[in-house]
Amino acid sequence: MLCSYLKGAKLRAWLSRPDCPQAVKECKVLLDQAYGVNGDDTTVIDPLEEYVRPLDTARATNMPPDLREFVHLRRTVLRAHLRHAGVVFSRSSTNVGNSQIMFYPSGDQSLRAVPGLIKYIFEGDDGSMAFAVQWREALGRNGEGDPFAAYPHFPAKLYSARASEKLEKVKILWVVSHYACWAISEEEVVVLSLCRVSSCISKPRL
Amino acid sequence: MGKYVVIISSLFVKPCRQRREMPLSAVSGEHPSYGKKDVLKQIHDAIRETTMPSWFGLVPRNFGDISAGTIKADEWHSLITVYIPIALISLWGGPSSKATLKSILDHTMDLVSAVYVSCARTMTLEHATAYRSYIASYVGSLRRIHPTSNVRPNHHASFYVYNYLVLFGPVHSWWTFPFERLIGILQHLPTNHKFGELNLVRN
Repeated sequence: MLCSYLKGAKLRAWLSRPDCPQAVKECKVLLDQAYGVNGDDTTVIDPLEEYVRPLDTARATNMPPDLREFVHLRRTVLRAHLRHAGVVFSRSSTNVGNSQIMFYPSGDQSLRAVPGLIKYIFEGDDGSMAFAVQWREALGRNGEGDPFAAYPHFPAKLYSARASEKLEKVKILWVVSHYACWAISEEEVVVLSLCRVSSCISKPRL
Repeated sequence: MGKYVVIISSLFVKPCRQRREMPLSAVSGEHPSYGKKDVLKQIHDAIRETTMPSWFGLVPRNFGDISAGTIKADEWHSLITVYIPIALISLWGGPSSKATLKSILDHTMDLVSAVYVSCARTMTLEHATAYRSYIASYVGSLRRIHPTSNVRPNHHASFYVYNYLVLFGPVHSWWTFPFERLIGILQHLPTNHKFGELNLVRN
C-alpha cells in the first residue's frame, strides 16, 4: 500500500510540473473523466469556455451612468453572478464576499495584484463579460505602521475602509483570486489574499 | 506522511493541549501574559465579521466553547491561515504591544507562515527551505515561549514535511484529505455495530 501510495504521489507531482509531456497530460484528462473527477481542478475545465460570454437569452438593459464613462454602449447585459473556471464572482450589492477580488492593474502581471470590489458584471464592447471594479484605497503612509508587514509569508495588508468612487474595467483573466476582508477600525480594513500560489504568497506587499 | 494538515494544525499547541487534557471543557483560566477571554473574543469577532467568498469553508463561530464540538482538520486550516493570525496581529502587532505578547505573536506566526509556505499550490526548493526555517524556529522556541509545553512526536514529524515537499512537490498531490473524506463516508454508513453479521442477515 505504501509503495503504491508513493508512486501515486510521484505521478501527481510529475503531472503538475510544467515540463510534463502533453501526451501524459491528455491521459490525465481521460482518467479524470473515467473516474468522474471534476472538482476544482482547472486543468479539467477550459476557463475560456465557461460563461465568459453572455447567454443568448440574456436581455440588455440601460447602461448605469457610472458605467457609461468607459463602456461606450447605450445598453448592455448586466449580471448578478458570473461563474468562471469553477469560481463564482458576484457584484457587491448581491454578495460582498464573492465580489472581493485581487487583480493585476491593466492586466500587467509584472505588477502586484491589488484588491477591489466588483460593482457591476457587464458585457463589454468586445462582447465578452467583464467586471467594473472599485479599488480599495491604499493608506497614504507607505506601509508604515502596518503590523501585517512584519510577516513576509502572510499575505495580508492594511487598506483604507473606503472604496474608490471611480470604476475600472477588469477582464476576467486579470483576476488572481478572492480575498478576505476584516474592518479592524472604522477607517482601516485588513485585506488577506486567498491566492495559494507560492509566487503570490512570496509577494506580501499586495 | 499521513495526516499532514492535522500534524501542522495540531502544532497550534494551546488549543490542542486544551482538547487533549480537557476534551469537553471550555477554555477557562487566564494565561499569565494575556487574557484568554480577550483573545477568544477577538477571534470570534474576526470569524463573525470577516467577509469571505462563498467557497471558503465555514468554521464554528463559537470556537473555543464546549458547543463548538471537535474542530476538523479543514476548520483548523481555515482558523490558522485566516482568523487566528488576523485576530492576534490586530491585538498584539501594534508598536505599544508588550514584548512578551509580541514574542508569542512572532512564535505563532512562524507556524502560520510554515502552513502558508507548505500549502502553496506551487512548490520550489526556496519555499521548502523557508518552510524548514519556520518550523525549526517554531519548535526551537516552543519551550521558551510556552514553558509548560512539551515537544511531541508531531513536532518531530513536521520536519520530514520538508523532505516530502522536495520529493513530491505541492502537498495537494500527497496529502490524505481524500482518505479522510472516505473515512467520513464510511463512518456515516448506517450500521448496527455488529460486524460480520451482514452475510448472515442476507442468508
